[in-house]
Amino acid sequence: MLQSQSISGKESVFVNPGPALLEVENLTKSYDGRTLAVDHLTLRVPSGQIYGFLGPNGAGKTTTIKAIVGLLRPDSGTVRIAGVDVLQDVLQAKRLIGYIPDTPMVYDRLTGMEYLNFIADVFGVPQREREERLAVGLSTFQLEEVATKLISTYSHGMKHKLLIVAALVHQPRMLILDEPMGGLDPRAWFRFKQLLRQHCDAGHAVFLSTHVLDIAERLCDRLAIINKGRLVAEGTLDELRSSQHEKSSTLEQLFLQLTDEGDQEWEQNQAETATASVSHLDKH
Amino acid sequence: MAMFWRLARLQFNVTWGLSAWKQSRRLARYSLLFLPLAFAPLLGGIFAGATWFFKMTAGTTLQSALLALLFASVQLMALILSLPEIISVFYLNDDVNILLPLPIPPWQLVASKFMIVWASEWLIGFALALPVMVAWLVYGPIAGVAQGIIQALVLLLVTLILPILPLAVGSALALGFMRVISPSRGRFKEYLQVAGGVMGLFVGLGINLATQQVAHGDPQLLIQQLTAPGGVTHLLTRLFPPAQWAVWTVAPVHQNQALWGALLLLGVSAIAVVLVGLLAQRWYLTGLLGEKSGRQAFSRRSVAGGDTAATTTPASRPSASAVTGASEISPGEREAVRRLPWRSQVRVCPPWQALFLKEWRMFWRTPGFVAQALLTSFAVPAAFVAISFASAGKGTNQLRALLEQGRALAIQLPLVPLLAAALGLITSFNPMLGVGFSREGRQAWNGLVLPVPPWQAALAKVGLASIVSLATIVLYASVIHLLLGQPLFIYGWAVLWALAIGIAGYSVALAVDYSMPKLDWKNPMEVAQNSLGGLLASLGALLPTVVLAMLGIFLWIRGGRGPLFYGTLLAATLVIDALAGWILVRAAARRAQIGV
Ligand SMILES: Nc1ncnc2c1ncn2[C@@H]1O[C@H](COP(=O)(O)OP(=O)(O)OP(=O)(O)O)[C@@H](O)[C@H]1O
Ligand SMILES: [Mg+2]
Repeated sequence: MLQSQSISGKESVFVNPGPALLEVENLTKSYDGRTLAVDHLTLRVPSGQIYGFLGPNGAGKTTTIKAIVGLLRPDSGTVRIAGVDVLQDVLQAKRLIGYIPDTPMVYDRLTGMEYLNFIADVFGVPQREREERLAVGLSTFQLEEVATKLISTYSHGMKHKLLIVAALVHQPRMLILDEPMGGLDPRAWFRFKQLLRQHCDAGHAVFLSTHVLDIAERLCDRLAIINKGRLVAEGTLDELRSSQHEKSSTLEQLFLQLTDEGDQEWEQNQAETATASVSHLDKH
Repeated sequence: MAMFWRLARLQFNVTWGLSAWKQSRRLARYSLLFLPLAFAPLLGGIFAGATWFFKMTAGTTLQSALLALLFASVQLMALILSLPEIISVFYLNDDVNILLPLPIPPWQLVASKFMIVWASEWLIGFALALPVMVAWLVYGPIAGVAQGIIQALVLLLVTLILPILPLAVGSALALGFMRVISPSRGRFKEYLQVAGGVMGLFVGLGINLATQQVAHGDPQLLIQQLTAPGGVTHLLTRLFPPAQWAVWTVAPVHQNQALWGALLLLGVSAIAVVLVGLLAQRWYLTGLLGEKSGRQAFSRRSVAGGDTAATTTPASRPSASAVTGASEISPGEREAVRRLPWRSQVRVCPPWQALFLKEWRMFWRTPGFVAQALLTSFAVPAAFVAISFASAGKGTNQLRALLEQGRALAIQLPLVPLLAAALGLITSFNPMLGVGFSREGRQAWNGLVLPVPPWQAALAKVGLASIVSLATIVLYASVIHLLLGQPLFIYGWAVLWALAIGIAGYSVALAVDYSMPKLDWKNPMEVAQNSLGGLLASLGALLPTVVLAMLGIFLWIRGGRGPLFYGTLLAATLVIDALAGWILVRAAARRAQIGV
């Protein structure tokens, strides 16, 4: 199986990686002293990149992200945002982060505007910038109408959009998203992708976890795949392909191979039967 | 039937968190055992009182009068306390969303939920009745161990059956009420709980007034009626026949009476439960889902609502790139921004103020919290005043004499610290203010990822609690001033002092809440109801008052008077405030570091 070290040598191949905005080193976290959710994970996200974080259910993606944004204290290891150690200087690190969790639980007794103002106040965003950024955010996600209403009246997707606008209001160096596509309609997702790209072009970076390999393939500049808390592969899509000596393989095939748990044969059999039955159908 | 038992088991599991408890660490698991310890003084007091009473009244019918009183209060308590709980468990719990799509008849759903209310009501009632029953077994007219064991079993069964009837009445009320209202969703439901609470208060108030009517407002006559043989039994028989049946069952004058009592108690309870089942079958789903949609005409405004947004044409909209600061937006675009409907609401304020505003808004927009605050702040003093006025016309002389006595006594006592302690105690009873972190529930992450020093977040919460409690304190002080007189400045000092005590109490409570929060709730009432942390927080809120009161009493008994007495108490208050603040800041910092 592929080890993270084997790829690190190829890092220089990648064109001009900026200074690291997110550095995770030997991050380890277990729940109840029993479940090892994240196991000596090391990652490095350069500026200007959208970094995809993949892995099966329960691989430890959410746990890693929570440790990065300061919602969980890791057992060991360090996390640095633009050089600021999350454990040493929590407040400074938090100022650099925008975070959107996998389930959009917002203070639903506030109105959208009250929530956005609250976030902007805490981050100290001045009036003029605040107005401009909110104008763009709210119109991009068509929230202008509902902005003055209570969040408890929002739909799932609307809450998600509000969180996106809030997370961008202070222009964080590091935008961290846990399964960001949940609840967004196609138009919102399209615009969101544009925003993410622009955010990176401005010299910031995005770190997102996802199951949707299509997103990972098209949107992300760099990928990390974890399984059972361990990094199993890291690099650009091309790097991943070449490391597996299968230049033509899709990310899906790579993912299945890398996160294989001994039931690869079963999957192959399934695939074969599927093709067989399809070709069988074709004949008729 | 197998399905029903599975359902009932699920209810217990979900409501009491049994699975979670079984999986928790050993230490956390057994910490529950300390719960009875917290109530030990109260239970001990009841036991001592009951023992004294049974010894005093050995061989008279008065003994069964106390039992009747006990049974009646268990029932009354079940009736009043359970109404909000019934509404909450029947209609507002999250599991409704899971159970409703399943092919289960409504009566089974309600029955399984009824069992959970019954069990929790029984636990509370039984805990409070236990000392009296033990005293009865030891000092009552029971001869021999064998008879004692049988009596104990009978008592246990009776306490089990007693809450059924009032709970059935409560369930029927709730089913009918919700059917009529048939709410659709959201905040409205919380107002219903509030209504339940207020209803409970007024039932209590009504009973209070009724007993005054019965005794013609004369305290001495009331006492006479309560203690005279036959008096109280007579009253209770009329008000609560089931209590009488229970007394027959437990302490029969002759053998037949026990049988009749038991039969009546069981029979009526069973009939009531069956009736509730029938009602549930007809009304439960209507109350839960509403009769039919579209009571209000579909408003034109909401159909055409998109237009206002559309008036800002895409061209005049600020370009998306401005979000990332890649480019400044043009002056024309700035004009467009100015005209947007939400624009007037963009307001900059310093972080500490933003934090407080957030707390303030979340508090006042959660009806459950507001109701609790208002209930303790306004309704209870209002009830006091109402009762005093209502009784003013009747037993005037006694009341006035009592007040005169009180005033005469007040002059001899250190009124300021006494008032401060009393007022501090009252505000500390307002539990929702103490659980400010749990109040955020699953939204708590919002605050934890922000670059805010934990002490600032905690300060915002204590600030809110202080403001609300100040209102409470001033109101109570005014009422006491009405009753006791005395110069106003005394009350001024007492209010300030009580506020200092209250702040310490809230800080302790909030520290407990930060340390053991309950964040997976949805219904705000649950915070106070279902969590050990919430309970400990409420007890913690009382701690500063209790410590100061004990210190004061100690000093007074040791002959402490004058400046030294007051100086020591004041200094102690300041020390306690500082200590509580320190504990709170530590707890908040720990929570912010470890996260949820
Ligand atoms: N609060 C918790 N207590 C105990 N174990 C937990 C807790 N949260 C997560 N875990 C465990 O940690 C491991 C990693 O969980 P995590 O939520 O990080 O996975 P994930 O990669 O985000 O999965 P998904 O794709 O399903 O979101 C899992 O084995 C899970 O069971
Ligand atoms: Mg996850």
